[in-house]
Amino acid sequence: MRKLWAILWKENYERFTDRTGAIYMFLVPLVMSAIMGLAFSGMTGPQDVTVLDIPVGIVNLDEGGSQGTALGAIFSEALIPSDPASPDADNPLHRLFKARAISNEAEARALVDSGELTAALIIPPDFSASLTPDPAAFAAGGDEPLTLVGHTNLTLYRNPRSTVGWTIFRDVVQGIADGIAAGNIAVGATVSGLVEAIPAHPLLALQLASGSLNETFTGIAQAASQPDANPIRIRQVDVAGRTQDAFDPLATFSPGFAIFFMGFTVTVGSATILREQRLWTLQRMALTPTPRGIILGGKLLGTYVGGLLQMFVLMIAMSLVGLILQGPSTNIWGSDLPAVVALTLAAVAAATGVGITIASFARTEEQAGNLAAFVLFVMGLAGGIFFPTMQMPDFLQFLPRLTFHFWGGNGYTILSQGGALGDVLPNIAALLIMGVVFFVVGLYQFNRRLDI
Amino acid sequence: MAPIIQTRDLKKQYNPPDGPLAVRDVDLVIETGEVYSLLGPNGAGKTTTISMLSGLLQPSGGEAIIAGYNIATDPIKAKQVIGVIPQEIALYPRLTGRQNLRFFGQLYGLSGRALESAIDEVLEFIDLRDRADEKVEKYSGGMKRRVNIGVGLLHRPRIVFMDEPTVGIDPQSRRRILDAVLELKQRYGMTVLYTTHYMEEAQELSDRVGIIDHGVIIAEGTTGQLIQMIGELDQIILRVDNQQVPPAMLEQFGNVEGVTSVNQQDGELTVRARRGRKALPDLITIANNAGVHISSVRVQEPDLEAVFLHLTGRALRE
Ligand SMILES: Nc1ncnc2c1ncn2[C@@H]1O[C@H](COP(=O)(O)OP(=O)(O)OP(=O)(O)O)[C@@H](O)[C@H]1O
Ligand SMILES: [Mg+2]
Repeated sequence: MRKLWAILWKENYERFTDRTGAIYMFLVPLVMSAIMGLAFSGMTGPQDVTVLDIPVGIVNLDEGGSQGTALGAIFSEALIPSDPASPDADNPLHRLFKARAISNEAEARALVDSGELTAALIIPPDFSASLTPDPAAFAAGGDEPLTLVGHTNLTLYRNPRSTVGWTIFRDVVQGIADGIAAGNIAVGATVSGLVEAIPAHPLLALQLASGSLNETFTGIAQAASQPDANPIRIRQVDVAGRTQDAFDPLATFSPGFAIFFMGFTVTVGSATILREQRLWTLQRMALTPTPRGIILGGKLLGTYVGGLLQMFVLMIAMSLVGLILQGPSTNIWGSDLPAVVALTLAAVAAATGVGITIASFARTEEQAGNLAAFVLFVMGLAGGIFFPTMQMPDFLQFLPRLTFHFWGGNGYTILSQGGALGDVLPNIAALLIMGVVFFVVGLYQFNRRLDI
Repeated sequence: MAPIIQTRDLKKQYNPPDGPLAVRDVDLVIETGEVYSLLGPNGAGKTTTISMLSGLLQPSGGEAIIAGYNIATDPIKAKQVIGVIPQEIALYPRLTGRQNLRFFGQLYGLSGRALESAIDEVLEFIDLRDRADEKVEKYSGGMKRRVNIGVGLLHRPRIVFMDEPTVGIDPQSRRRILDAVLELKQRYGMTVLYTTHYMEEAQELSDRVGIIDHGVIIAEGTTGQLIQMIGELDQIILRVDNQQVPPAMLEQFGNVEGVTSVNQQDGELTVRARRGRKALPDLITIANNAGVHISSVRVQEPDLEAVFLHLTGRALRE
């Protein structure tokens, strides 16, 4: 155990006292992500700035009321163009939203979750029924006045990263709902009239977002109904979601660069077996009364620990760069510490496995370096370090999934957008499997070639 | 007492089945406290032999018993009593001399105070105290060699294998290393297996010498025994330049006791004799009487070089 520790210490002492090595391990990835951060800083800010074409979904589960009323359809009719291919340019609601009908609640939630939709409205099955008088009671006669029979809940899924778009949608839904409640279906048109002004006046949009225009809508509703008796309640649900419209350049690039350069560290680290063989220090270790497994184990564990140290240092340093360039709202690594640690442990394990395998196919350290530069660059490209893998054609979508770059980078992206340990378990599993497979291949190959 | 190193039919074939047979059927018997040299040219199989004896290489056949442990079946125990000083400078260039010593000391199972005092002792022995905390990459060749030796001595081994420790260094460092080898034997009672292709080193250091060529030990014994074995004679070379040498004088040379032949060539008289130094005074007297002035005298006793030449028909160093 003490011998293992001695080897581990020696490995990392050598690694971290090497100035050239330190430049590649820390400086280059930091500078690259800072450059990316600056280059894209114009697009920064984790919020949707466009007020046009806010993507929303409507799930109309309304089963209709007793007299064939279909109040739920009012939302769809107001928001979804009859021909989605050519929305009515004169309808302000159609310009403001890109609304589409979605068949079920789970799908809507997933779309909000993935960031494809800013929000989704769920109209419950009993919507009309709750808002229309019970014909049976009517038929039975009696003295009771005709009243609305109950309450109903509209559910709104919301992507929390979206701010302006979401608020507008909520207010519009509220306005329509108030209109329905007041028996004034035509109120939708009034809302349209108001909303019409929005795209031309961003300031109006912001006022709307901040809630200062809410009274307007409420006023419409009040005029036609008794406010206390409004039977439609709107329940909002935040979806812990990723969003594409929130583009944070540092969160997008930094984890990838960290992983990319960590890949080099662990590959070069594995290739030191070849250097030590040339320097005869490997043989010298084997000449001491130290089992072979401890020697190789110490070296590989040392490499793994080196990769981990590099990752953790880069995480802290990149967060600081983010703080300086983008302010405190920057969150590159998410806030679930156990998840970040677990993902990092797995990512470095996978990279170390790949590194051993690359090194085991080389004859000399130089060869290993060249091979690593080629293989890791290709893997980085395929794994989405330099451009999003979503831009790849469908038939190549399997490629990124063969790289630790993809699984690691994707995992950090999930975490930075609010995901938790459970959300990155598939990533961790993929990385661990990759680590084990490559580790076995690499060690087998080394064992075959290394005569010590 | 059993010999501390004993091998039987030790063989090594690299990359079997077609690879070269680097060592064939070596039987070594080395007693405790002996300095034994393996003398042979490049590629003779010296390093291969040491690598098998120290447990680095798996022999292709035969066995080696080191201090009672079979190196094949009991490698960890055997390695604990062996100190190896490899032919290569097997050190980490970016670590200091002391850090190198500490690292390998830990692998020999030393720790704490015992480790630090062993390091100090070794630094003293290799005379590197004042530069111990500089990086090895800053050292001269001789200093690197000395640290290389020091690493092999840290755990106070009973047996030391030294593989060509004087290759490529200045005469002064070389002298120190040779003195160190003698000190290991005399002061610490260590058994030393030393390999070299310098016959003077083997001759000076060794109790016994094994001459190895093409993986075979072709002769073994003390330097005296080896020379005697080949029956080679001393040569006395007298420089007379271009003086006339009377034939009578040469005849008288031939009559001196022990002399077997006399040759004249290029202003030099070469006299072969069984015991050269004994015949020399007589030869000079005869020359003086004949009025021939001798400007210089050289006596060449046969050495291990001559033995090697005799046995193989080749020079030790090409
Ligand atoms: N790893 C190897 N693979 C194949 N052949 C080898 C290997 N190592 C040594 N040899 C061959 O085995 C023979 C003996 O080599 P060895 O290194 O033991 O000689 P040596 O006496 O130590 O020579 P030197 O004085 O050059 O160090 C040589 O012919 C060499 O080419
Ligand atoms: Mg050698």
